[in-house]
Amino acid sequence: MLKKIAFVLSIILVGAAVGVGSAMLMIRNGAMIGRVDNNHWYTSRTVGSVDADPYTRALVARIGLLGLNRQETVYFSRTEDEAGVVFDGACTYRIDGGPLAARWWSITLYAPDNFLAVNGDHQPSIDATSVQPNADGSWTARIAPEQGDAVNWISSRNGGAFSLSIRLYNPEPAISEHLEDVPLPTITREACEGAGQ
Amino acid sequence: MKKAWIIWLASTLLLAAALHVAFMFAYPYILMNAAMDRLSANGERENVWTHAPRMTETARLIVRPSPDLAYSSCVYDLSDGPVQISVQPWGDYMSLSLFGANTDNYFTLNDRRMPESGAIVILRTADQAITDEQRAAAFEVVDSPSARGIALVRRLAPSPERFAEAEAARVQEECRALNAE
Repeated sequence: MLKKIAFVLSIILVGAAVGVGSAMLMIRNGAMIGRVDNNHWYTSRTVGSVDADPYTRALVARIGLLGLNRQETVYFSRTEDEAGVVFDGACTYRIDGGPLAARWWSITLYAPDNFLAVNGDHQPSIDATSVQPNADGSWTARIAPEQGDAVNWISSRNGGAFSLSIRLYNPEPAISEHLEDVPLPTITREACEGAGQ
Repeated sequence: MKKAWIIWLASTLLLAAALHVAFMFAYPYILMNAAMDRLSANGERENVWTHAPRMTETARLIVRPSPDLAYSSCVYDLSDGPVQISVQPWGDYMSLSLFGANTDNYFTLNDRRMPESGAIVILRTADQAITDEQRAAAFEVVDSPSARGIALVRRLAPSPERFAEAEAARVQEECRALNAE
């Protein structure tokens, strides 16, 4: 009798641990069906959409709850520079971008907890209304713990292994229908504080 | 003995697969429910707009907030009848978006599609009736896929000046039970 109870109990315990554990692991590690990669940026075709599959919906619930669908807004995120190295809040990066085919756009830096980095700098983002463009319409910005001589600056102080999100509101079809190859800003690491790299 | 092991393994895998799928389906509901609780102060503030202050580094209500937008949220509950939402015009990007209990963004109305004077949206479940007068006054009548959900207004307000203007506009907006006395 005891053997039987142990048999059933072990099935329940192991089954629950494996089932729920594997689901949580997939949600945490960003298993996103419908994921689109675009030069280190990534997005999903189905964020916010009623067509989202359970895995995308679960992931979006964790990292982008209350996000809009892609006809309204396209969100891209990234966690690494052009060389594929994970962002580090202590480093200095240069963002190079051009005009983006949307009514309004912004780029925001988030700490690993998915909230704005706590640093008192009040510079968590740049956006289409504030960025100072170059003569040819392109623009350059700096991501760094200090502004230095940069005109356009996003503070990465206390950002740790930060991530970036670009929001493109009311995107033109050139964006929403070409998620994988629409030109997006590039981000190059220039220096790292004290790391000598 | 060998047979017992096969039964154990098959049952365990079957249970694990079922729970994996169940958890994946339940997870968005759990998080959405938690968000609704946070945004409504545990149900104290339902069917009423809550206007968030400017998103700063101390904001912890919703993940990955935009510091350039003015957000207003209304956790709606249709169990006692339809809800009426009104939004004021805004001279820039704005949108009213509706989210069901499973996190889906099932409806969005932005300023390009909105009348210049703003809009009234009536929110109901498919089985709730509204009068012809109520329908005529509304810009749109929307069926919510769930009894509870979140209405969210985003206004582009990247500067303190624009944020102050957003605050003046949004205090005039309504989120309330349609048939309340």
